[in-house]
Amino acid sequence: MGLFLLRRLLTLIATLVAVSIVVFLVMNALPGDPALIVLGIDSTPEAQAALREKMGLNEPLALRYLHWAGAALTGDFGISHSFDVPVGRLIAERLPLTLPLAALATVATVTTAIALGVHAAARHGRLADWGVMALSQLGIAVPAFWLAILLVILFAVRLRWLPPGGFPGWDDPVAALRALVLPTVSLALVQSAILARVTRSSVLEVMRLDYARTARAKGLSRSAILRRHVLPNALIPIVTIIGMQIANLVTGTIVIENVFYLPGLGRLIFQSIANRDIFTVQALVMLFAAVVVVTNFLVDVAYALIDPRLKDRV
Amino acid sequence: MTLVSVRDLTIAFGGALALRALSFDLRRGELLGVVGESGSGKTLAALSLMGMAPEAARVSGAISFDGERVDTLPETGWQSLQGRRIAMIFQEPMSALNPLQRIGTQITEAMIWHEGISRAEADARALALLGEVGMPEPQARLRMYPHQLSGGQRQRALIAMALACNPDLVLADEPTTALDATRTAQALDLLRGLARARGMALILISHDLAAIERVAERMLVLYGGDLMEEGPVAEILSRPAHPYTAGLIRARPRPRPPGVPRRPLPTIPGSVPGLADLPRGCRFHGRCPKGRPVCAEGRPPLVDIAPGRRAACLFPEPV
Repeated sequence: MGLFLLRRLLTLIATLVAVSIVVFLVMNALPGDPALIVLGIDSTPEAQAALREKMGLNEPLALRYLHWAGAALTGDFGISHSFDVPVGRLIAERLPLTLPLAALATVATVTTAIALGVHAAARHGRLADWGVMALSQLGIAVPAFWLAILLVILFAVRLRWLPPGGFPGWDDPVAALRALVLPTVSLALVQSAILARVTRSSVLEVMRLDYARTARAKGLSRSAILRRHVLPNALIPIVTIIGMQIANLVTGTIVIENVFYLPGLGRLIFQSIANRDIFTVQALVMLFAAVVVVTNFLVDVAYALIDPRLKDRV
Repeated sequence: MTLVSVRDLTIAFGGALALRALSFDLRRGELLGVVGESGSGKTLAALSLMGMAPEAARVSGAISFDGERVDTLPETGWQSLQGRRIAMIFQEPMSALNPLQRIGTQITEAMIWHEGISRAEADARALALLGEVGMPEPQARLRMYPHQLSGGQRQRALIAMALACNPDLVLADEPTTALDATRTAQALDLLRGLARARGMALILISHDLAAIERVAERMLVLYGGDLMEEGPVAEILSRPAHPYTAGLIRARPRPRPPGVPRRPLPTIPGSVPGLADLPRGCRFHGRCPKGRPVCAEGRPPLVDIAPGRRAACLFPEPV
């Protein structure tokens, strides 16, 4: 396991470095002069030149990358020109919203999807199975932002059970959680519909295998067979999809935070792009890419924890 | 004393009869071989004895185990027999073992489930069992995963798993298909020895007459879902009554004595009929060297042809 972890960790670091180079190059290839954007088109060429010098834009590209990457490692992502505060602080302020939202959405997705998927597989071909399949088909077909709007109309406008948007902060945890209910459901519903289908088909496949029959020949109850033998073996494709869905959440939060007017990272990147706030955009794109890369690493580790054969193969 | 009694066991898929009115008895501690080609119904018969016939199958007839009707039991009733009093050893040891669980966990599972003993006690029993089935370094093997074992070791682990609760009956369905000739012989001798030592009844299902001969005292010959012949192994192999059995025996590969010229292995002409096109009457008549029009008219009754021997043929060989 040690060697396995070390190898995966090295791959993770190499990937992060490669991603950071790509992000940096893409941001630099974008048209537009950052100094001009900051100062506006009415500014004097002398002022622009001075700012370019101050922002380090006259240095060679490689050197600028090393400066940026080195500073980023210490948490310094530069100053956001549109907010006029360090980018690091902008991100730190918004993490307490986006992180719990993403975590809640992931937990909601995984628990509902596995419960429904296993339930459907255990009742294969019967009413419960058809019900879950029909519901999940519907869930996959509905776009998340449209669902979010429908939820707001029903639960916030008509029934007035939950707030339609905004975030009161964590000083009042109940109000904060209430504000996150509808965004969480909007994010989780589509994802859990997909994951429930994957769970169902994976469980059905394992139930047909010889060792599931062996477990039955031991006289175990149906639920014990599912819990001990079928579900653990069905987890590999499920974990793969969960990993992809966590990556999807990144884009999902951008849409959902804007629908629900939540001051999180998704909304921040939206605003920063609109404001051509290059340092903030660069930092956020890097952060989102890092989330995806780290998720993939965790998925790999999860594979090895689930399946002893993968550990031995390294 | 009768342990298992099967009467008119019939298994149908739609309109097709995969097993037709099979009746036989098994004594306590008896070693029974069931021989037949694929599609003969031998695996279905074994699964029915475990209460594990496929869901799509319509099963009729009566099965008694240790004096009690079991075919009418609900699923939970079967569960208290499975793994505890009746156990099964499956064909492919690699796929029959859960790849994610240690060998020890898989062997102790049924003990803890059925007998509620402690993990420590179960581990001690599993260790003893692995020793009994001839597993090298049993202590280390308990902690290993199936992929870390060799094919022969996996088969021994499966046998230990079946013996976990000291069952009265073990069903072994082609237990040696994944093994080479030497390991096959070892595994068969092991099964026979274990059954003898524990007074355990064994049903060995195989297409291989050599395996049956090595293990069993009495045998059933199945073809196309019908019981063709039944009797002591030695007698059937030396003087088969049914033309199908005779054909099977002729088709056995044998070592060629030095000086004897090479000649092609005799085969039974034609092929095993599928479930969809089972012939009327005797299921073997189309391929039978002695087949006559009358054979297609009705199913030949299973009749006593000698003490302890029965055959379902209108024109049996004299025995």
